[in-house]
Formats: sequence, C-alpha cells, structure tokens
Amino acid sequence: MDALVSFLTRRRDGAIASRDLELTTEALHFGRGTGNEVELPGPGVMLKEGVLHKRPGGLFFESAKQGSVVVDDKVVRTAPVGIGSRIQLGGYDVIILNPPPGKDVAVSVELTRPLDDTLETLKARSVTSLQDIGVSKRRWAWISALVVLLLFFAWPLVDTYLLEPEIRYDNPMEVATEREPWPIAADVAWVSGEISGPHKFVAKHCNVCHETPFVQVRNAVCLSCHETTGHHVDPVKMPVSGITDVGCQACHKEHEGVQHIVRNDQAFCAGCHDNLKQWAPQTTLANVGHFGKDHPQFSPAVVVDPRTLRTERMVLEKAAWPKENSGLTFPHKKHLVAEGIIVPGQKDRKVLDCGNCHMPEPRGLGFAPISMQRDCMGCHLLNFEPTAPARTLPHGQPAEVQLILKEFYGDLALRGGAVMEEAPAIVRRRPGTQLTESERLEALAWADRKSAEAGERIFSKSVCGACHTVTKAEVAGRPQWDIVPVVLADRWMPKGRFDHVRHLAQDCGTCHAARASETASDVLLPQIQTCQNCHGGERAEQKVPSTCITCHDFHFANQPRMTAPGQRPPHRAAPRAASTP
Amino acid sequence: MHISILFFRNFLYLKIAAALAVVALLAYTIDEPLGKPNGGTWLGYTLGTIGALLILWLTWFGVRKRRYGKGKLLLEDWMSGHVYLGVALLVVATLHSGLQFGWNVHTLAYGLMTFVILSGLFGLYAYIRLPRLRTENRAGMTLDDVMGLIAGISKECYDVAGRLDDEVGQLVQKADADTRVGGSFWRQLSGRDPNCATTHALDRVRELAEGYTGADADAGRQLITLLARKAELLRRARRDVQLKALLDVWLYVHIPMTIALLAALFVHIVTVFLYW
Repeated sequence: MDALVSFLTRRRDGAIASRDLELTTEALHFGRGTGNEVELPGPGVMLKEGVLHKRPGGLFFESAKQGSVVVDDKVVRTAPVGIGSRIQLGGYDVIILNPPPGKDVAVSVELTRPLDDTLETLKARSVTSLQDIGVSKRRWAWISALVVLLLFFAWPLVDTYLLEPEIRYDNPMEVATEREPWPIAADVAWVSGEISGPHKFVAKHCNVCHETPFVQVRNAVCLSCHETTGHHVDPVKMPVSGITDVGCQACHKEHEGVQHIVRNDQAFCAGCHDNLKQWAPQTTLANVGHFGKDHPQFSPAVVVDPRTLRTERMVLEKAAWPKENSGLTFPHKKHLVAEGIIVPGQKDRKVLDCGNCHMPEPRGLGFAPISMQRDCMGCHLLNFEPTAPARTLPHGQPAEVQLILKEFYGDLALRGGAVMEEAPAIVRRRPGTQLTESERLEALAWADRKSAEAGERIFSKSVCGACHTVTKAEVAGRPQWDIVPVVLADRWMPKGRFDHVRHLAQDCGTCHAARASETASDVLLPQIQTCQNCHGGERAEQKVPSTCITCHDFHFANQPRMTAPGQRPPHRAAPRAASTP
Repeated sequence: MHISILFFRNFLYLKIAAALAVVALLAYTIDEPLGKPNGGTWLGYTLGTIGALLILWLTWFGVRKRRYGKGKLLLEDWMSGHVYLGVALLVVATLHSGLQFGWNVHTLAYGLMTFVILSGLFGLYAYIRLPRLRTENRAGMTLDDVMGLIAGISKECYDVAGRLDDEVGQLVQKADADTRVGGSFWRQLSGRDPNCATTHALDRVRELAEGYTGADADAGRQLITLLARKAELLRRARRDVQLKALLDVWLYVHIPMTIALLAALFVHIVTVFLYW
C-alpha cells in the first residue's frame, strides 16, 4: 500500500509544522525501534507498538505481541480503524486521515504527551542502584579495618604496655586477689585458647607468664611456682636430647583448654621408650611402646634381705616365680578358710576376708600398713603365764620382752604366793614372810629358770616364731633372742601407680591369689596379662584405653629438681624478710 | 564474568585447589601433634603460612582486575583461581585453626575470612544466575525503557482521569507523583514497595468503579487497565532493581570484610608471637 505519514510538531506560537513521509509498504509498523516504518523516538514507546494493515474490509490496527493499545479511548488488542480514529502510542497520538489521491493510507503522528517531565521526576524519585544510596565499599573497608586495628591491636597494646605498670610478683598467686583496672582486660582478645584449669587464676594476667614480647615463655616462669618438680631422667648422668634440654613449653602446651597441659598421650612416651637405647645407650630399662601389645612383664622390687632392706627386681615368670623374704611367716590360706577361724573367747568362728587386715588408705590408692595390734592380736594373744592370763607382752620389742619375763618371775619369786604347782615351796609361800639369804637365792634361781623357760616357749614356734624368724644367741651364759625385722612391701612396683579404689568392682582374688597362698614368701601379684585382660593401649576400642601416664609418673621426686635446690628462679623476687617485732 | 571461568583451562584451578585441600587434609590426618591440633604445631605454622599467602594473593585480585592486560596470567586465570583457591582457603584455614575457636582476634580473623568466602560464593551464584533472570524480567527492554513506559501510562492516566470525579483525579495525581522505583538499601533488595501509590490508586479505583455507570464505567475500566499495566511494569522495574542490587550487594560485604580481614590477619599474626 502507499502511505503518507505526516509528523506534526507544534511550535510555541501554536503554529503546526508538518514533515511528510511517503512510503510504499505491506503494512505500517509503529514503534521506537529503527525497524519500524513509523519510528516513534522517545521514552514511553515500546520497540514495537503495533502495526496498521489494510484489509478488504478497511484498516485494522493490531498491537504487537501480547500488548494492548488504546484506540479511540478503548483498550484493545486489535481494532478496525477509520478516518478520524485516534491510536495512542506512548506519548504519541496517531490519527487516521483522509488519504489524498494516489495514497491508500494517510496518518498524522504527533507527540501530544511529552513524557520528559513525568519521566524525569519519576527517575529523580527512584533510587535504582546501591551505588546511589551513599554506601561506599571503600569507606566501609577503611572503617571496619580501622575498628579491628583499634579494638584488637592498638588498645590492647596501650593498655598492656603503657597504662598498666610492669608487674613483677613475689608470688604469681598474688594476682588472684588483684583487681582489674578495667572490667575486661584489653589483651583478652589475644588469648589463643582457653587456659588450663590450674592456671585459671592468672588467666587475665597475661604478663605473669608472657614477660617479654616476642619471647617464648621461659622455664623460669614455670619453675617460679613449680620449684619442687623433678626431672624425668638425671640431666647430668643421663642427658637425653629432647628431654633434659628442652623448655617446659615443648611438652606442656598451654591455652588448649581446661585439662590439656599435662601430656598423657602414649605416642609422647613411646616416641623414645619404644627404642630407648637409641636415645640413651647406657640405659638398662626395657623398651615399651604400647600397654596392650608391647609392655615388659612386671618386675616387682622383691625384698631379698629384710635385715638390710635389700630388694631385687624380679620378673614375674610362671616358671620361676619370685620368692620374697620379708622376714614374716604368714600363710594367707590358713586365715582365709571358708569355714572361718577360731577366735579366743568367742563361740563362733570368724570368717576373714582381705579387708579385715588390709585397710585402705584414706585416699584409697594403697593400704595402711599391717599392724599387729590392730590386725593380729585379736587372735594372737601375747600372754605368757597361764596363772596370770591378763598379763601380755609388748609386740616388737624382744629385749623388753626378756626383761619383763625376768622381772615378772623375779618379783613373783621374791614376793611369794605363786600358784604354779611345780614351783618350789619358797616361791609358793605366803606372801609377806621374810626370806633368808639362801632362800632368796633359791627363789631367784627359780625365777631365772622360769623366765628362761618362758622365753624359750615364747620365742619358739608357739608365739613369736609362729610369724617371725627368731635368732637365739648365748650372752654371758644366758640365752638372748632376737627377731629378724619384717619388711612388708608397701609398693612392689614403685615406679608404677595402681589405684586400688578405682578397682573396687573387682574381687581382690582377681589379681591376688591369696586364698591359695601357703607362705608369706609368695609374691601375690598378678602377671601383666591380668591387667591386659581389661586394659589396652591408648586407642583400644574394646578395652580400657590406657596410656603410660595411667600408671607411670613423668616427673620423679627422686630425680634432681628442675630448679636446683637453694637456687631461686630469677623470675621471682627474693622472699620478703620475715619481720620480727 | 561468565560461567566459563568455572571450567577455564579444563578445570585447572579446580584441580590445583582440590589438590591443596586434599594434601592439607591428609597432613592433618596423619600428623599427631603434642596435645590438640592447633596453629602452633609445625603443621599449624605451615598451614597458617599457606593460608596467609592465599589471602594476600586472593586480595591482590582486586588490584589485578583493574590492571587490564598486564601480567602473564589472563584475568580469567585470576578469576578462576580466585574462586577455587578461595574455597580451598576455607579448608586450609579451618585445619590451621585445629577447630579451636574462641572469643578472640584469631577467631575474628577466621570469621571474617569465612564471611568473605561465603559472600564470594553468593557473588558467584549471582553472576551465574541473575543476569539471565534480569533479561527475562525486563523482556528485552532496559530499565529506562520500563520507566519510560511507566511515565507514559502516568500521562495517559491523567487523560482518562479527567473524565472522572475529583477523588480519582487525586489518586492518579498521587500515583504519578509518589510512585518510585527502588529507594533505600532494603527497599531495593526487597524488590517491592508496600506503600506503592500506584497499587493504592488501583485498589481504590477498582472499588469506586463498581458504582460507575455509562461513560464513567468505560473510563473507569480504561483507568483500571492502565493502572494495572503500570503496576505490572512497576513490579518488573522493582524486580530488576532487586536483581541488580543482589548482583551488587555481596560486594559490599566481600570487599570491606576483606580489608577488615587483612587487619585482623595482621593482628592475629603479630599477637600470637607477641604472647608466644
């Protein structure tokens, strides 16, 4: 079709200018895009608004895509149009005109509703980008970095090194009572982890330990409190690299939570002890790396001579089980018989168990020493004269016993009134009668004889000898008895720690075969296999996980102190002189 | 930015980052330090050094991307490495920490780092997903086009409202003068305006139109159509602003937090040796 498009522009004085466009086309496309026959520039117009067709029935306007258009004040998608019809496209009015001769279609196009004002004010009101709301990434970056630096660096530095005086404590314990100048210590933000429980009292006083910036905490700081701590090995006789030449910090890692400063991991010990000769060629210790799999058989310190207290480490081998010479004769089996034992003066038998004699220490780790007075004398009475059953002898004093016998019978002989049938008449006479010299000598001779007899009986198997090894010597023509000292092992394994109270759920017999023991020389310890029935190595899954530190110590009291005696660590000021009024 | 940076050079940087993470994890698993794993063991120092160098390198991207065409590596190398090594840093730094956290500057540095990495991952998601949503939402137009259409409809509304009563005239006037797209930070991110004057006018005119008859009814229907179209265009415009804000907003976290992280990292490194 041949079309005439007149673009109208209204001037300020009201005059209308017209620019005509003549074209021949299939249809007239309207829109902002350059592909349209009728290009409508400016805001508020879609790229493709619609198209004007000429059809046999007349002209039709069809809006583009799913859009809609206002034709003659009606919103439509497609509509027939005729002369005078007004199509609103954005700010433009398109009016169908009477076509001049030679033209099929004529339209006028006029921008009657310029959008500039409306659009400009809409744009001015709208903030469509984060950049436009005045938030600057750069400013935020500087501010946040500055806050971090001020709060966590500058302020703690000032507080720690300028405001707080340099504190040197006579005793770090003093800090516990000290008041903080601020509610929160500024350097609390530097703490790399929770301090261990025992050190919490200095938790807010970093400079108690961290004396000098950029210098690792020195041993002297640790030893200012822990001055009695012993070495693991003698640093002079057996200097071991990695043990005697390293700082406390090498092993005791602080700031790892409440309970983590004392090492108890198996690898820590096994690192050296699984091949000890490599580190200490002169050692006599056996290698050990794992309690469950690689631990030597127990070697208790067995008493071999109670007179000299000499002990020997003897391995608990089934084939050659160690024999102890404690100086005591004591058959456990006889005392633990199921039907019980006879107790003098009591009708019923008394059934004994271990706890009747082996009393736990207050802490329960081990046992109180066996006491003759407490544990034995209920049955083993130390009376000596049937006619005076209430008289008893003191225990553990053989010389005293002999003196008492001599004095008892001497007194009886000189005083008279003895009731023994075999005694001479002079001893059995009525008390209070005078003695002649020869009678006195006769009476004393009886007393000597009698006390010797009694001594012989008492020190024999029937009393002392029942439990003790008795020696007899002749001194000035008189017998003199003595008792070999008894040395009962307090800890057979002095370098191991066994906490009895934590094993109360077990019967004593699980480890100690006392019911079958007929002699005190039996070392009533279990082999390590008994422990291994329940205990495994550190990572045992179906046994009690046990590390070396479960039973063994690291710092030994018998080793030289970490701090040499008498030498105070430099950290700590000299103690204040005791003031005397 | 294009999705291709993810498989740039046949996933070279994914492979490097994965190798780094796997080696770090293996070392962490094998290592049996005295006590708990922490930043102060030899492995801890090693991982810490790697982590700090990674942070510096990742931060340098902000400088490198402004230097067009300089250096041996393409910007795509940097971008691809930035994404993958940034994620690997999370693994390295977590292992460096030995999972020991507390209220201190060290955990602050870790927290800032995590924040930066997570915001970066959001940015990656945004760059991959949102531009397409934006184009679909605007149906091929620019935001200015949409605003122009909105302004055009506002004009038309005046014409139609002129044939109706004064209340409608005021509603249309308010809908023109008070309608805005975007606005404050949250308004832009929310993508809607609960007090939109156009929506209000549309609702009110719908109510009023029920009582119209004759020519008023025609004008009412016409106005409702126009206002509804305007409201729909506003919805798209606001959604566009929202999508654009989402494309930008992560950078407002990513960049300032990176600089704060550098500060915290500095304090972290200095103070662990200050209180050795």
